[in-house]
Formats: sequence, C-alpha cells, structure tokens
Amino acid sequence: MSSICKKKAKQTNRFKSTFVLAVSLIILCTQAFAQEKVNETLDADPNGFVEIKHVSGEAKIIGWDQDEVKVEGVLGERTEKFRFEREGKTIILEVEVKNNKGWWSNNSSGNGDDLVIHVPKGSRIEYNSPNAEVSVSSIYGGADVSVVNGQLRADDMRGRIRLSSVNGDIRAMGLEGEVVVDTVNGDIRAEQTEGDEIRANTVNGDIDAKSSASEVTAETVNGDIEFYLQKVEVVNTNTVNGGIEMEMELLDGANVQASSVGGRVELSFQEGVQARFDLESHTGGSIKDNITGKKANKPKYGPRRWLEFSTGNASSTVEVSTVHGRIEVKTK
Amino acid sequence: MSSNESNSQSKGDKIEALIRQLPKEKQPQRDLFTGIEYALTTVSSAQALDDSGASTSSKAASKRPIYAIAASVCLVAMVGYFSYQSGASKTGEQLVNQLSAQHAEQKQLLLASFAGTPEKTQNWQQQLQELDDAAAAIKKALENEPNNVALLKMLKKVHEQQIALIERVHAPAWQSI
Repeated sequence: MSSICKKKAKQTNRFKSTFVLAVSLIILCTQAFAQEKVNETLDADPNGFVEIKHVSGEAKIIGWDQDEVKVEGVLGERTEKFRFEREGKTIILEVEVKNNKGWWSNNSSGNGDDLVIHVPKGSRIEYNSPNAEVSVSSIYGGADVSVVNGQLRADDMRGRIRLSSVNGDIRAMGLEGEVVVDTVNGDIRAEQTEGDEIRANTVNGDIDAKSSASEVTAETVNGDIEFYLQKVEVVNTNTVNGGIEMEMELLDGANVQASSVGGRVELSFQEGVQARFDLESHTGGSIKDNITGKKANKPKYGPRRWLEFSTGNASSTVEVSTVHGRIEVKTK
Repeated sequence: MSSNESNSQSKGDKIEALIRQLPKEKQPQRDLFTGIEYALTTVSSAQALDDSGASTSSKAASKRPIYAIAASVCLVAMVGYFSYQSGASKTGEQLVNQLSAQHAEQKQLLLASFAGTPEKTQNWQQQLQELDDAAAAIKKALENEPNNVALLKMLKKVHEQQIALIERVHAPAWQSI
C-alpha cells in the first residue's frame, strides 16, 4: 500500500510540475506576443475599404500614394489576437484583447497599441476604438471614425466624413465633403473648407466651427455653439441651455431656424440682409433686434414676446424661438 | 173758476207758441270748430303716429326672420368657432400628451434593453434629467400656446436628444470589438 501511495504522490508531483511549467510557458508566450512589434503590408485597392478596430492605445492613420496598407508599431500588453487580412477590396485590421468583457474600465490598465497605419489615399476607412487616441490624415474616400474616451484628430479629409466621440474632444481641419461630427462630453473644433453639408452635435461639449457648407445643422444640450459660416441656404440649430452664436450670409430663399429652451441665440448676418424675421419668446427671455432697432411686442398680460419684421426685398426667412432664453439678431 | 182755467190755458198756449217760435237748432255762442279741428287734428296725428308705429313694428316684424337667421348664423358660427378653438386646443394638448406618453414608453423600453450594459459616461443620467427639465419647461409654455409649432418641434427635439443620448452612452456597437 505504501509503495502505491508513494507512486501516486510521485505522479501528483510530476503533474504539478508539468502544470506549473505549462502555465509558465503560456505566460511567457503571451507576454512575448503582447510585446510583439508589427510591420506588415498588404496589397490594397486604391479606392478600397479599410476597417480598423482596436481597444486602446494610439493609432495614426495616414493616406499615401501607394496601393498598399501597411501597419507598423507595437501591440498592447493584453493583445490576444492580431488580425490583418484582405477580403476582396476590404482590408481588415483588428486587435483583440483578453477578457474583453468589461474592458471599459480595466483596459486603461497596461499599455495599449501604438500603431501607424498607411492606407491608399482614395480609401474609405472605418475606425473604432473605445480608449484610443487617433489621428487620421489625407484620406480622400471618406471616413467613419469613432472613439469613446480618446481624442480624435482629423486633417485633410475628403468625401463623407463622420467623426464621433463620447468623452473625447474632436479636432478636424481641412475637411472637404459632407461632414458629421458629434460628441457627448467632448468639444468639437472643426474647419470645413469645401462641401455642401455639415452637422455638429454635442450634449455638454462646445462646438467651434468654420464652414463653407450651405446646409448646416448644429445641436447641443448644454454646450455652446460658435459657427462661422459663409453663404448658407438652410440652417437648423438648437440648444437647451447652451448658447448659439452664428455668423452667416443668407443666399436668396435661405431658411434659418434656431431654437433654445433657456440658452441665448445670437445670429449675425451680412450687411443689408434681405429677409423676413420671426422672433418669439414664450415664457420670458428677451428679444433684441439690432438690424432695424424695433422693439418686441408683448401682450397686456403674460410673459410672451414676439417680433416680426422684414428687411429689403425679403426672400429669406429667419425664425428663432426660445422658451425663456435671449434672442439677438444683428448684421456684421 | 172757469176764468182761472181759461187763463192757465192761454198761458199754456203762449208757451207753446213761444216754443214754436224758438229755432229748431241751438247755435253755439262761439265757434267750436277750431276746438273740434284741433281735436280732430290731434287725434289724427296720434292715429298717424300709431299708424306709423304699427308700420315700423310690422316692418320690424317682417325683418325678424332675417335677424333670426343672422342670429342663428352668428350663434352657429360662434359655437363652431369656440368648438373649433376648444377642439384645436384639445388637439394640441392631446398631441403633447401623446408625444410625452410615446416618448416615456420608448425611453423606458430603451433603458430596459440596455440594463446591465456598461455606460460610457458617468454623467448621462444628470444629462437625462436636464433634458427632462427642458421638456417640462417646454410643456409649461405649451399650456399657454398648445398649438405653437416651434414649441412642439422643440419638445420633439428634446425627446430625440434624450433617446440619442441613451443610445450613445450604451452604444452596443462598441461591444463587438
């Protein structure tokens, strides 16, 4: 019996040693992989689609003149799988991490990826990351870039451009095309040099934008909107408690609609603007007309105020409504 | 006695003779026609007045159906107008209530569907509350102007912003990475 027990004990010890060795090897392999550098290239369609997903770290996506997608840099410590492959005209680059469950909170620990990705300039790209900082430049086929907590920077972009963040700021310059920018808590700073349409939305973030688009939409809940526009045809803007400040030149037949709950709305137009103005505050607030100097009407009883007037050969309309905010219209 | 009887007979004859001498018509001592004329004129004036009054009232009576019709039309118009007004205001109120009820249901369903999903901002519920407050302020204004299109649009926009906020801070798309 004792010899059998000794044998069993030996076997158990051997098993334990093997197990410990295996685990150590796995850990070593994983760490070796996690710290792996990458430098890979794939042939790509000059106008293809590049899809990039990773969890954290930093990514620079740069358009270049070669028909290749190249990724170089270092993968994060928690990397489990690195996928870089082509499917037809699509290139997929994906970095998966361990224990993906609940990574909003725990992925901030440890180092993330540090990647530089070159793609053909004519590519359309889609980028998603919850905790990374990303910069995108010289992409002319359109882009859909989303982050949760990181900063987002875009330069020299063309096509349909959608930039989105939850908590991070967005800074986008040299945009040519149809632009949509939105955040929840982050600030937006954008400059659109060409393109018909721009839409910018925040909840708490501020929007500071220059745009040549003729169709403009800007919304916020508590943030402030500052928009410097050129010749506009359609403008829709609204705020709950934030402020709206816009400069614009109305084209013939333009329509501007602005509303606020408690925030102020200040609209500035070109000298000699020809439009019909319809300004209204419902339960308080004030209306200031610095174009004709007219005073707002008020009922015998009640807090409502309103002012309607036309200038020149009015072909455009400007409608501003607030619950209890402040409205001001003026010329430059 | 016979002489007395003959005297009283002769007195009677004399009286009879004198009566016969009296003119059969008694002429008034002054011209009464003026008074009669005056009386006649007054009566005829009064009559005329009465006649004219009668004609006015008959004219009025003849116009009464028109007034009645006009009054009826006015009444119908007023009833219609006020019904329309109350109906319109009711419609506006109903629309606000309907929008609010639909939004509340949609919001609850959305929140229930995201239960247990990690949230990407810490302050989203505070923002949701601020949007609720904004909706309440707009509804308050709508109580006085139930059909104000700008206010209705504003309410709709605030509802949309709430839904968009809930979706964005829970964004299931992020989970697929």
